[in-house]
Amino acid sequence: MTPTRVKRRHDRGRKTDGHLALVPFIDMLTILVVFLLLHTADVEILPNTKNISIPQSVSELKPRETLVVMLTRDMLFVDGKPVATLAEIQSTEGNVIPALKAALQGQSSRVLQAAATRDGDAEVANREVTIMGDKSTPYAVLKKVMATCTDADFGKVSLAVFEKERSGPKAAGTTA
Amino acid sequence: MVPMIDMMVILVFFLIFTAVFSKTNVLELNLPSSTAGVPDLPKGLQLEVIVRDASIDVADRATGILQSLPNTADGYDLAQLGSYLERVKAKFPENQTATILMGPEIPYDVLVQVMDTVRVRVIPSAQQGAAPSQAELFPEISVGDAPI
Repeated sequence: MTPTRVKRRHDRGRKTDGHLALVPFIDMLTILVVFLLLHTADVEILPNTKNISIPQSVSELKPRETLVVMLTRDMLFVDGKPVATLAEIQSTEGNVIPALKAALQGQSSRVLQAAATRDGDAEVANREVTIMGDKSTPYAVLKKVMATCTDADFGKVSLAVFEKERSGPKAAGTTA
Repeated sequence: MVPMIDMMVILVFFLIFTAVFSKTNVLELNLPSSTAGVPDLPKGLQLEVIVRDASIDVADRATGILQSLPNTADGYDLAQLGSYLERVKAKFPENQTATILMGPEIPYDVLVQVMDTVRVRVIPSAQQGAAPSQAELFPEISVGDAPI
């Protein structure tokens, strides 16, 4: 072997050693990008729920664009703004929470406009509200919140839930 | 090549951080409006599911309690409730409405689980691994206070 050939072979070897295999890397990235794009395709309407744990359900109804009333362990929020504490709600006499009613009626004009552009004519008694409640919320509190919603002319009340895994052991448990 | 990879890496990170892996759905309630007048009283069965601290009672508003299901060791006996409601549905196939009556201290989670049981019945598929199908029981649900 001549010295030049040895050198060339040595060069080639070093080049493949230090070279990152780009094509498989790009393949992987493309698959990841496509997967993630498909998973974020449906727009999230409800706010994310890191600080409360909402119940699981087999419901398949998709959420619509509505006003969100969120009930955490100690606070009540309407559209992200704090309205009342849970202790206040529990000590309220009767079924209507005045602070929540005021907040809901303050929302009315904005939500009505959205409903009017969607349906053509807005029906006041059929405005929608979605309640996101923590699992441990006692029914007495939930009842007051729902009663206030209907009292403030939000006739359609939906409850936000997590989708249950379809073939999971929990889903099988409810069927037995 | 390299700028494209850079862009893709940035995209992947962006998408991972914005991705939400838990899906949220909604359950619809059928609440009477406070401005509504006297409702039409339906004839026939008016199904009520009364959730108490220690049991679930299935009742008809006119005739009273049909079946009482005491709690099992792991809480409410939703499996029994499901199979009993299925027999009720077989007898009253026209009936779509049910009322769930709750005691004041029952947690919200129980309401959703009972609603699920009253609304639909999940039928496990015969084939292994295939998605189970759902049969409708009483999908129009109202909620109220349990009588003492």
